[in-house]
Amino acid sequence: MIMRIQERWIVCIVSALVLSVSLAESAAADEGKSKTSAGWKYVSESSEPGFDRPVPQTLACIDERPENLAEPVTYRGTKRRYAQLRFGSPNSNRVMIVIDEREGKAFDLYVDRNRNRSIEAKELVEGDGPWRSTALAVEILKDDVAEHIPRRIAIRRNAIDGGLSIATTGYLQGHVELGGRTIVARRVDGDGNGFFADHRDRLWLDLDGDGKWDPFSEQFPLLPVMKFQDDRYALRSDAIGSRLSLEEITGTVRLALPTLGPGTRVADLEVTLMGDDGSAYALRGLEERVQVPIGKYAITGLSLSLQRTGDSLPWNFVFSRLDHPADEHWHVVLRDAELAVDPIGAVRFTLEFPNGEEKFPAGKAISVVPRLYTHEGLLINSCSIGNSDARANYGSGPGADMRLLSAQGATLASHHSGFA
Amino acid sequence: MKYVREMLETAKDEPGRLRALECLAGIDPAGALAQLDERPLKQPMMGDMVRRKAVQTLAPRDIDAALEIVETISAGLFRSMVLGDVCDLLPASERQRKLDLLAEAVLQVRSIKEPEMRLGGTGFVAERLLDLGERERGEKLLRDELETARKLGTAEFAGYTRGAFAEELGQVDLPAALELIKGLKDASEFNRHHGNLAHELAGKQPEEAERVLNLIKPEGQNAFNQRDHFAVRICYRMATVDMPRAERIALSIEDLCQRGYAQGVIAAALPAKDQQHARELLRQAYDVLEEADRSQKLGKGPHPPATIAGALLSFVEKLDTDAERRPFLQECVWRTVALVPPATNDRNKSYYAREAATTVALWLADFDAPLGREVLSRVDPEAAQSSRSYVPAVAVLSDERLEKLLDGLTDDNSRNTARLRAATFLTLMGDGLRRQIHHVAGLWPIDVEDIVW
Repeated sequence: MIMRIQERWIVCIVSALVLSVSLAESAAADEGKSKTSAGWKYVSESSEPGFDRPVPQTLACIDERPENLAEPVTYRGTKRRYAQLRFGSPNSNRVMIVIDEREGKAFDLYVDRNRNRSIEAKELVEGDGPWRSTALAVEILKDDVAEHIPRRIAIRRNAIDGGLSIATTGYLQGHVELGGRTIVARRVDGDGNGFFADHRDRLWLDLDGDGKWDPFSEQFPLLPVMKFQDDRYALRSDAIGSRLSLEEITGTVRLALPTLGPGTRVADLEVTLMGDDGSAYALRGLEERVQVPIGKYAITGLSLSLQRTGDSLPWNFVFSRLDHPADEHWHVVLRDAELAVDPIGAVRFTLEFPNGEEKFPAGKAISVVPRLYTHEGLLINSCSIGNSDARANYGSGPGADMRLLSAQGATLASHHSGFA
Repeated sequence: MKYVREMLETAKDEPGRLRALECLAGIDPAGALAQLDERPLKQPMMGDMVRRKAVQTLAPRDIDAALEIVETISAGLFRSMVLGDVCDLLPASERQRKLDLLAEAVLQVRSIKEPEMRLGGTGFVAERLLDLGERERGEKLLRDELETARKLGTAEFAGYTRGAFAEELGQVDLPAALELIKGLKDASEFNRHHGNLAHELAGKQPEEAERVLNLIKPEGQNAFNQRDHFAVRICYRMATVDMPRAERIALSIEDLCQRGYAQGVIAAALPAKDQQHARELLRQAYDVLEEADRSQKLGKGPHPPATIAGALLSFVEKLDTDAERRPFLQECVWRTVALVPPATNDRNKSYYAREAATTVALWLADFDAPLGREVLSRVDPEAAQSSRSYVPAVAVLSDERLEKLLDGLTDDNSRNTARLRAATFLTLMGDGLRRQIHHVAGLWPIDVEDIVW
C-alpha cells in the first residue's frame, strides 16, 4: 500500500486546475486593458512621476530545483536559480520563477504564469537588463475556486546577490469621498502581492484637485486610521481594491494572545480583519488598536512570528481562511467599545482524507492531508524558521512526519509533509 | 581585511559580530551582506545596522545597488533614516533624485505608530527638505506633527525627540520651537537642543542664533562649558553671513582651546578672496592655543591645545601660497608639535599628555609621517591602551608596531576592540579619515550637525 501526502497546491489543482489555468491565461491576455470594478480601474503601466517606479520586494531564491517542478523548456544558460512568488491571497497557488543564467551577467527569466508548475518556452519573459516585466494575474482562492484578476509585475535581478525583487506595476484609480468632497485617488501595491489594501500599500489622494500628484503631501501609507488636517477617518477597503471609503471612527479592535506560552515573544504579528461588508483592515502587533466603524468582523489572515527564549531565529506561521466565516467567527464591534480578538486560541490539528476515510482495497493510494486550524477557523498555509522572506515560505521548514501503521504496528509507509 | 576577518572569526558575542560586520560592510558591502544572510544577527535592528553601513559604502559608487539594500531594511524609522543617508551622499546635481528619496522617507515616517519615533523621523526628513530649499514642504511636514510634539513628555526619550524636532521647526517657527524645548528636564538635553538649534540658525538668522546660544545654561560642577562647545560650530556657519558677530562670539568663549578652535574654523569658512585674513586668523588661533598651553588651566575644556592645533592643520594646508615648500604648513606643524607636552606620570597631566601626542601623531600622518611616528614614540604603549586615538595612530603610522601591539593583547575582546579601531582607520582616506580622527579626538568636524538620528 502506498500512502501519498497531498500538498495544498495539489488539492487545489484537483478541484480547480482547468478553471485556474484558463482564467490565468485569459486574465494575462486581458492585462493592459482597463478593468473597471465599482469605479476602480487598474492602469498597468505609467510614466508619471511617482507611478513610474514600482515598489520592489525581495524574493528568496535558491539553487535547488523544487520538487514537483517540470521543466519541458530547453534552457539556453548553464545554471538555474528558483523562486516562488505568492501573488494573491495567502492560500493562492505559488508562481514559479526561474532565472536561467547565461554568460556574463546575461540571464533568461521564466514566470510560470498559469501556475501549473511547469516551465514552458512560452513563459520566457522578454527583455534584457536587470528589469523585466510581464502580465501576471493575481489569484484569489476561495472555497477551492480560483479567481484571477489581471495585473502586471516587474521583476528585477538584484546587483548585490543576484537574487530577485518583484513589484506590481501601475496603480488602481478611482474616487473617494472625503469631508464632503469627491477626490480622485490612486492606490499602489507596496508589498508585491497584487492586492491594494495591505498596510504597506500606498494611497495617493489629489487633495487639491489640481490633477497633479505631489509625493510629499498627497501620498500616504494605507493606515487603518488616516488623519487629514485634524479629522480622523477609518479606511475601509476590500483586499483586491475594488472599493475604498473613509468613514467616521466609532469602535476599537485590538489583538490578544492569552494562550502564548511563557518565554515566547511575538516578533511579528499581522492580522487581516474582514468586515461583514467585505472591508479589510490590517492590525499589526499586540499593542496596536485599530478604530473601525461599528459592525461585525472576522479574521481572514494571520502572519505570526514567534521567538522562544534561547532560539536564535523566529518561527513564522501564515494562516488564512479557507471558507466563509462561521457564525462563531464573527465579532461585533460596538460604538465606543474596545473588542479584543485572539487570532490563535486553542489550535486544532486534524488529518483529512480527500479520497475518503472508508475501507481501501489493497494497492489503492491513500491521500492524507495534515491540517492545523486556529480556533477562528484559519488554516495554516506555511511554517518556516528564519528571518528571510516569509512570504515565499520556501525551503524545508517544519512539517509533519506521518506513518501508516498496520494493525500489528508495523510501518507500511511514511512521508514528511510541510505546508504550502 | 585581515583584521576584519580575524574579528569575525573570533567574535564571541552578537555585539562583537555586529561591529565586525559593520566594519566589513565599510570595505566589502556584498561580502558583509552575504555573511549576514548566511548567519543572521539575532536582533533585526542589528542586521539593519550592517545594511545601513553597506548602503553608505556603496551609495557613492552605485546608487541603484545601494537602494536595493535599502529595500531590505525594516520599514519605518530605520529605512527613512537610511534613505536620508543616501540623499546626503548624492551630489547636489541629483536634486530630483534626492527629492524622490525624501518622498519615500516621508511615506516611511508616516507609517510609524510610535509618536516619539515618528516625530524623530519627521525632523530627520524635514531637515533635509529645508536644506534643499524646500521650505514649504518641510514646514508642512513639521506643522502636521507639531501637536504630537506638544503632547510628548519633556524627559527621557520623549524629551529628546521633542528637542530634535524643535531643532528643525525652529528654522520655520522659532517661537514655537523654543516653547517646545524650554521645559526639557535634563540640563544636558536642554543645552544640546538649544545648541543644535543655534547651529541650524547661525548661517541664516545670526542674531537669533546668538540669542538661542546664550540660552544655554552655565556649566555645573565638574562639567565643561556647553556654550563654549556649541559656539565653535556657530562661528563657522556665521562667518560668511555676519563676520563681526562670529568673531565677537569666538572671543566670548572662555576655554582658550575652544576659542582657538573657533578662530580656526572661522578662517576655514572664509572665501578664497579672503585668504590673507584667513592666514591671520589662523596665526591668532595658534597664538591663543599657545596661551592656553602656557596658562596650564587643564580641565577647563575637554581638549589639550595640541589636539586643536593638529585639527587646524588641514585648514592651514589649503592656505599655503607656495604649494611646494609649504612654509605656512611647516610653521604650523612645528607650532603644533611644540604644544605636545612631555610624557609624565603626574596623574593630573598624564591623560592630556597622552591624548595630545596620539592625536597629533594622527593629524601628522597626512603631512609628515616620520614626525608623526616620532611624536607617537613618546607615548607609553601600556598606559595608552585606553585611549581611543592610540591604536588608530599606531595603525596609520606603523604596521610593525600594530602587529606587536595586537600580539601583546591577551584577551580576544581587547584584541578585537583594537582590530576594530585599526581596521576602521586603515580603510579611510582624505576627508573620511580626517572626520574619523575628529571622532576619536572628541572634536566637532566642520559643518556636521548633531549626529544621533
